[in-house]
Parts: sequence; C-alpha cells; structure tokens
Amino acid sequence: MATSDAPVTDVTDGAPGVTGVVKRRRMSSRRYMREIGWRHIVAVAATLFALYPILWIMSSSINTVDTLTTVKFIPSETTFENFTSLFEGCSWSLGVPPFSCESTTPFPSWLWNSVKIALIASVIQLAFSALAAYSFARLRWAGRRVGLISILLIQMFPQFLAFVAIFLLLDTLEETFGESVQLDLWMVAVALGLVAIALLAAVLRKDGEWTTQGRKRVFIFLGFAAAIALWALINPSYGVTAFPKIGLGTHTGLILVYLGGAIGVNTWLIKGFMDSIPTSLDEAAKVDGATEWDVFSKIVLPLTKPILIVIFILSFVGLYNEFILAAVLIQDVNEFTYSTGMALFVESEYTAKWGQMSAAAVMGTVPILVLFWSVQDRIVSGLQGAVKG
Amino acid sequence: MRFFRRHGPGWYLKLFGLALVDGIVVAVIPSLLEQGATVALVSMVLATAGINYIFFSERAYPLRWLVPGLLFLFLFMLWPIVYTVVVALTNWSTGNFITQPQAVEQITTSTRFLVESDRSPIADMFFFSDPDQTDELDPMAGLFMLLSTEEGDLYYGPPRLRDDPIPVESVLIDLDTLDTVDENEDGVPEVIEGRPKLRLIDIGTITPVLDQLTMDIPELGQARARTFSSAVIAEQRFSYDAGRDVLVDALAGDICEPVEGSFYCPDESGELQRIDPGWRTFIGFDNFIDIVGDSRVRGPFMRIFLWNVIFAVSVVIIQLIIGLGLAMTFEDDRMRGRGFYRSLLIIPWAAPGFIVVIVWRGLLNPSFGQVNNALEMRWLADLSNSTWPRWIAAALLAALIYFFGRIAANGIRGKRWGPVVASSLVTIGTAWILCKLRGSGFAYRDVNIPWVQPQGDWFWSKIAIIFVTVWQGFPYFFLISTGALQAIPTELKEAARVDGASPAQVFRKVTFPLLMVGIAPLIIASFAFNFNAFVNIFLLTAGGPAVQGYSVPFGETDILISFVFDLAVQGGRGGQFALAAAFTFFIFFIVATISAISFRFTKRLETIYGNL
Repeated sequence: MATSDAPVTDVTDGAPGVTGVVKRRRMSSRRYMREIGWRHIVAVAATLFALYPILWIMSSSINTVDTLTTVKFIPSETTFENFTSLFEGCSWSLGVPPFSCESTTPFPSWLWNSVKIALIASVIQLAFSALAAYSFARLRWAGRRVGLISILLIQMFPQFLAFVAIFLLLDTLEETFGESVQLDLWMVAVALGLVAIALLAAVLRKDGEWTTQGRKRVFIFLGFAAAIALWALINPSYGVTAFPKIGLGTHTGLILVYLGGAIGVNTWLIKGFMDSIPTSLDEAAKVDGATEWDVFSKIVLPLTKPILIVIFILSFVGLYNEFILAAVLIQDVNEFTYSTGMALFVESEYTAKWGQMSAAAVMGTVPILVLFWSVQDRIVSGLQGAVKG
Repeated sequence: MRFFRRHGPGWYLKLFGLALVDGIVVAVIPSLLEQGATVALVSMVLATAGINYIFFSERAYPLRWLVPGLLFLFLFMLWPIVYTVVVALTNWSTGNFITQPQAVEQITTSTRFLVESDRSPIADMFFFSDPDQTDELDPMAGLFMLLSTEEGDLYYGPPRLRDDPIPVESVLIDLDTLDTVDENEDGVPEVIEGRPKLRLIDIGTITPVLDQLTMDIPELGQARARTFSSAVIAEQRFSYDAGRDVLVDALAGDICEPVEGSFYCPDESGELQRIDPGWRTFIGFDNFIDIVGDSRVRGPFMRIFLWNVIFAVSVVIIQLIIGLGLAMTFEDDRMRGRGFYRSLLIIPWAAPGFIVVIVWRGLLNPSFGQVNNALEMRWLADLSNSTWPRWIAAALLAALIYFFGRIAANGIRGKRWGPVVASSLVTIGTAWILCKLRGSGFAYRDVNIPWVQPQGDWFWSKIAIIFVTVWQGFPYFFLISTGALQAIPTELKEAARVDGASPAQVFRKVTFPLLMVGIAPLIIASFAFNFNAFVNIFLLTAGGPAVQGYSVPFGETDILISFVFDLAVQGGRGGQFALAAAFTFFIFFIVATISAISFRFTKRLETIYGNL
C-alpha cells in the first residue's frame, strides 16, 4: 500500500461503499490532518525541541549584544566579532602548529590540539582494529571465539572509569619516560633488545642442539646489536630527540591512553564487514603466491574501505568529544583540548562572554555535524539493522 | 650473504620493532627494581616474552595481527582496571604520594626539619669580599663566607638569605683549589682569591641581613649566622635508622615509629604528631571498610548511589517514551520529509556532548537564561493586556464549541465516552483561559527557576540534569525504535485488529513486547552509559548544590563517577586517590553486573555489532 506520493490514499480504506474498486483521489483535508498532518505537527515540534539550543547559539554567536537577558532570537544587529575575537592574541608563526597564542583562552590552540590528538589516535586505532579484525575474520585459531566475546565484554567497561589508575599509571611512566629521549639512547635500547633476542634464541634453540643456521642467527643478532650500539656511541646525535616524552600533561600520553580503546566494537564491525567479502578472492591470490600480508593489504583492506571510513569518522568524533581523560591528564591551559577548554567557560558564569562562547560552540559543533551527516545513512541503517536482528 | 637475502624487508622491520620493545623493557628493569615494583616487572617481562614468542613462532601467527591492539588494551584498559583495585588497597593520596625511600629522603634532607639546639655545633665565621664588587644597596654582592668548625674543617662559599623568595643555592667552594694567603698561619686565610678578609668594622653593611645569612653544608647541616663572628650549625632533626625502620628525633632523642605510611613523633606533651610527607603503602581493606562502615562516608555513598540509579533509570525511560512516540509518529509511509526531519532530529545525539551541555547551562541560567525567559511567556501577557474586542473571543469560543462538539457528538453516537470527556474538558478549559485572559491584565511573573546554580535548589538541579540528558539521548531511541518497529511484521498487528483488539491493546500486547525483544540489549547498554554520564553532571552542575555535614565533599546531583572525580582530581579538596579507587571498584562492580545481565543477550549483541 501507499507506494504513491502522499497525501493520496487508497479509497477502499475509508469508503466501504465502493469495495473492490481501487480508485485514488486526493484526501480530504480533515482526513489528511487526522492521518498524516498531525504527524508533521509532532515532527516540527520535536525538531524545534531538538534544535532549540543549536538555534540559540547560532543566533547569539552573530549578535552584537553580549549578554543573555537582552538577546532576542532574531538579532537586530549582526556581527562576526565574536568569531574573530576567538583568534585574538594569536599570530601566524613558523613551526608546528603554524601559529602561536598568548591569551588566557587560546581557542585555536585547543582546536589544533583536539584535532591533532583525535586524528592521530583514530588513525592508529583504525590500523590496530583492522589488523585484529583480519585475524578474527580470515585466520583460524583456537580461542578466536573466546577472544571476540572477551572484546565485547571488555568494551562494556568504559575506559574513563579507571581514570584514577590511568592518572597514577602515567605518573609512574613519567618517572621512566618523562624526558624526551634522545635518538642515540633509543638506538642503545634497540641494541639491548637485539642482545636479548640473541640470548633468547640461544637458550631456546631447537631441540637443544646448535644448528649451523641457529648459531648463525644468534651471531647475526649480536652483530646487529654491536653495530647499532657502536653507531649510537660514536654518532654525534646528542640533542636529537627522537620521541616525545610520555607522562602526565603530555599529548603523547593521552594518545597512548586512547589507543587502549583501539580494539573494541570497531573490531567487531570491521570483522563483520570482512566476513562478507568472499574468501575465494584471497584463495586465488594465495594460489598465485600472495602472502597473508599481501592478501590483507592488497585485497581485503581496499574492499573494506567503506566501513573503515565510517569507523574512522565515528572514532574521530568520539575522541574529539572525549572529556574526562583529557581533563584528568592535561593541566596546562595551552595544552588543553577543545572539550576541556570549553569547560573553562562555565567556571566563571557571571563573567562569561556568551557571544564568544556561542561562536566557539558553533565552530566546534558544525564540522562535527557535517562529518556525522556524511555517514548518517550508514549509522542509521546499522543501528536499525541491529535491532531487527 | 645468503642469510640476509632470505628475509624480506618486513622481517627486518619486525626484528627492529621487537628489538625496540625488548630494549625498552631491558632498559627500564633497573628503574623498576629500584622502585620495588615487582608485579609490574614480572608482568612486563612475561608480556615481552609473550610478544617475542608470538613473533618468532609460526604457530602463534594469527596472534601477531592482534599484538599492537592487545598491547595497548592490556596496558591502558585492563591494567588500569586491575591497578584500581591495587590502589584501593593503599593509602595513596596527596600527603602519601611518594614511596617510602623518597619520603625518608625528603624528611631527612628537607630544610623544614633543620633545628638548632643547645647541642648544635658552633663554627667561627669570617667574611671575605672584593672591595671592587661591593654594592651599597646589596650587602650580598661579592660576599663570601668562611666557616671554621671546632674540628678545624673549613667551608667556604657565597652565603644566601634563608628566606630568600628566589632560592639561590649557596655553593661550597673547595678551598684547596683556591689561591689563599695565610700569613699568621692560624689556619684561617687572610686573603682568598684576592678577596681580603673583612674586619669587624667593615661588616656594618651586613648587619641588616645578618640573622638571615645562611650557608648549606651537605652532610653537616645549615650554618646560620648567630653573631658577627660565629654561626650555629642547624642539623637535620630526623635521621633514619634503616635497621629498625624508624626515625630518630635529634631534638628530644625520641623514636618515631611508622604507622600506615607516615612517621609519628611524640611532641613535648607526648602526643604523636604526623611527619609530612608520608608514603604510599598497603593498608588492606581500610578504604572499603570506611565506605561500608563509616557512616560519614557511607551516607554520601548511599545517597549518591540512589540518585545515580534514579537518574539513569528515569533518563532511559523518558528517552524511550519520547523516542518510541516519535518513531510511531513517523511510522507512516505516506508522510513526506521523514529523512529531512530525521537529519535534524539526530542533532542532539550527534553534536559534541561537552558543547551542548555547556550551551544548556547557559540557557538554563536562573537569572538570565533563555529557558526561564521563555517560561515567563511575555507574549501571553502582551496578548491579554491589549483589550481585544469581545467578538473575537466569542468567535473563538464558537469555533471551539463547534470543533469539539462534533467530536463529542460522534463519541455519544458511538457510545465511546473517552473522546466525549476529553473534548468537554478541553472546551471548558480553553473557554476558561480565554475569559481569564481577555482584558484581565494577566501579568507575566518573573520566572526564576534555580536550574543550575552552585547554591541552587536540589530539585530543579536534578530536573535540569535529567532534562538535558533526555534531550541528548532521545534521538538514539528514536532511531532504534524506528528500526525495531519496521521489524515487526504488519500481519501480526492486523491479525490482532481482526480479532477485535483496540489500538491500545495492539500496542500493549503485540507491538511493545516484540519491540522490547529487539531493543532490550540496547536499553541496558544505554542504562550503563547514562549511569556514568560524567560530562553532563560535571559541566551542568558540577555535582552541586553542595551537601554539608559529611567528611567527604559531594553535591546533590553528584553521580558516583563525578563524585570519584572530585575526590581524586578537583583542585584543593582532591587527591584522595585510594579512596577514589575504592569507590571506582564499586562502579566496576555495578557495571560488571549490568554487563552480566547483557551477557545473556550475547547472541543478539553479536548480530548487533556485526551489522553496521
């Protein structure tokens, strides 16, 4: 029924006299109201309810009046000063980020920090998740099912609940990794690691016997280690910091913490999508001599792209919105993310610049909404497909 | 060379990465040993061994793909959960933050615990100064101090002011390396590095700062000028006796015993005084016992927990009602523009939570927020105050009576009394309002509902919290209800109608139960989500208004997680990590219970997560 455009309807519903004759005509306005019109009224009311705060911040972000009391919904005078004032005290400069700010509320820095952290963390999360999903989808191993179920269970615990422990954990990490470690020290670490691997290889050699190849391998490891250590010792790379420091108040620390949530629902989603790609493709490739990695990177991954984009956007938005861990771990105002920075507004309620805050809110919201709308259909159909079972 | 060619670049990359991981572990072992973190050490070594095994064994090949993600999952997800329980068993807090060796080090070297007593050694004090460097205004310029102890040891260096706001370390200079002149051979040189010893009459400029002159002598103590020619050496009050694990108080010769992570020393009256800083140590289940047994802690916990449950349950129920209602409204294929509505309705759910909550906080501001403004309904007052003609009222009334009269008449004819009663009530009510309004001088009242204020009203704060959270989440329920409604076969509903069920009965007996089958797991998940809706609480009310009279600070709208946040983080009153961890453990317990319930839906959840 009703494949045609509303408000045309099947007459047999309402007029018992003409049973059997399917005749279409325009609905009477009363009947339209009773059957469809009220739905529009409810929908418009709900939409207004949903949009109420959004419309208000849009209005007041371009209003010249900076207090709340006198703000009328349609501003009598408009201005973009609220937006430009967010960038006050900031100027372009060479480096990363390409600007520097000297104000108590450095919005551009917050936006930059948020985008940087969310981008890096969500890309790495996606990579880890895709790798794990491939293992679950394509490789056969004992404990696969248990692993999948455990992931489902673990991700029911929101990571931020353990923020006390994460805070103390990062504080401990800071004792060891709190300084930017210089390149040569990392090289020494690699050399140490190679020695450790060589020792392991020597101890765990096959059947307790030295094979020529095994011995050779140990010597090769040791040789590598010696070469790298030598290079690190004689190389005048002092002062070259290869890795940023990890600890409280650092973005690296925050990103690492976010990576803890890499394997979770996303792994399930990618795995589900990979399951729908026929295995005949990879089998054919393997016959032609492709390795597992080739199959993953050249066949499965490109075909998984649609879902990867959706998941990337979702996790980017999720990390952009993350508040509690960012608030716990980062203390310096210049290092704040957008979420923790915006929270400064509500601290000083009576001195708050409503217009400026609205402008900041609009700038923070609109890109996210655009991102969300771009994958809306997929999210909606996914959610709705889920409940259909 | 054949060996090198056997492996591709990936193999070397793997080797390099593994070596880096191994190397870091090897490198941090000494520091972990020093900290005495045995558990961390063992688990780290085991994990690294596992990773090495995974990458070198062919059998563990499938696990290689999981290692990067699992590594971080263990480190930053599972380990914090375990670590929370570990921390909950300690006394970890601001005053007990460091380890015992660190605390002992601080106590035995801190200048706070330097004391002078009758037994403190006295040293002869001499000043040296280069006449070219002296400055009328700054007596410290170019000034050097020489101390000669009773044992005949000499200490030489620039002195400092004890209470100097910008602390400058006084640095001892090795006298043997300097060019000195000791003409009278009394052991005290007359000239050092060309600086002559000052005579008593030259010291006049120093007088104002004399009682501040200080020189730190490691191992010995702090020399403080007492007269123009002598200094007393203040010594550390405490020394640590590692054998007995006690502090020895040099002042009174007392022994200070360690109790639960702090040394306690008896003062003059014999009462035990805590020596700050303490250190973190295991104190067993004290924190849990406090939560359960101490009424000053249990009281807040129970109140917060109760509100937390009420909050989460009511939010989920209201969201479900609104969402389901909307979904049923949209459940007509003839309705146009549903996609458009949906794109807009999704906004509260899609917009960044922290932003919309802050915006709502502005809108809900009691004195100048738009919500109170809108509730004042000035337009209604404006309307009533203009004396609009009587005939408009009459016409409106007539239209009203006609419209609802027809409905009522239909109802009477069909012997359905519901519409009759409803339409009569609406007619009478509207007529009453019309009469009341017209020329009645209906004045708007200032609406000052104290929604969100630090010192606000507990009732309205809670309403505001629930309102904003509902606003944020109803689109989600709208979406899932729409999906679930579509999944219900229309034949079932039609069959029920044919059997004579009323629309209400169809909904209650057919639609709703079938709907619940689909969305029950998501409702549970949503409950768990809202149970920990930290951002909403924190940014809207910050837990306020505060409740007075308990030993732990909390507010009327605090939920467990925001309360824990305040305990651990908030400036000033925070820093109680161990107690916060103990509370977190309870949250874990609750979340685990919810998870256990939803685990019954595992099969369903598998399909849900496999579906997007």
